[in-house]
Amino acid sequence: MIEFNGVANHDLNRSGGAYRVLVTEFYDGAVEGLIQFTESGPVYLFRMVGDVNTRPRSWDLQPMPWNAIEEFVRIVAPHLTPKWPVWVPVWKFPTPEIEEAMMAQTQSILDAADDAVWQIKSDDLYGFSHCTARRLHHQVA
Amino acid sequence: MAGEIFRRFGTEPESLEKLAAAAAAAEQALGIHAVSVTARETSAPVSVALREEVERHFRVIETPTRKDKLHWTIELPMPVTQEVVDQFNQLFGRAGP
Repeated sequence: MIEFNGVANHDLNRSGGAYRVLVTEFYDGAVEGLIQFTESGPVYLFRMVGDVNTRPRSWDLQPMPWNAIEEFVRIVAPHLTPKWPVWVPVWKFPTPEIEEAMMAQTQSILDAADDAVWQIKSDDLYGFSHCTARRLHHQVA
Repeated sequence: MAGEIFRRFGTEPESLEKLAAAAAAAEQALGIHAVSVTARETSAPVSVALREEVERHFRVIETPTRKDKLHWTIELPMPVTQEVVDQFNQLFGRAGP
């Protein structure tokens, strides 16, 4: 059973900026990754919507299991060193075999994402220190 | 790799404000005052430059992402000046008329 901790009651417009961000894809800013707005709040997978040249950028937020960031870090930590509050790992590993294993194991985490429930906009390209949010029609029960 | 092609998304000339903001954001997050390119093929509108041409003017750093193994960053001088922007746009064939 996947636990989407607190997503149903979470109001992003009452949150400040991001508490921590793990950027898994970037191009002149964050494209995809994991984000948490408060220390004990829900974790979301963010995915950029639209064009990389649009400012501010928009991202859809999909609820993730509460421990998704910790699990992702646990998997890659033997090879990559986390840096908070914003971590943008450069995806380099000692061997192709290790890289393949890291890809598969982290994909299994990202595959747990539920349907998008929020869309956020920000001109802070990596840190999400400020953003505006709107609820999408689909809501987690 | 000889003849490697860098692709930068978009085709319009880029402004000083946009390049400076992107480079500053990368400096804070990645520790490199730089902007992105990719060497992978894409059907999206891009402007292109030969890697060796870019390297004559800027330092380039291999920065693969989880899905884009051919992602690179081009380090820009700090501060980004109009001269730098003009050089960058010219390299990618985005110079104005």
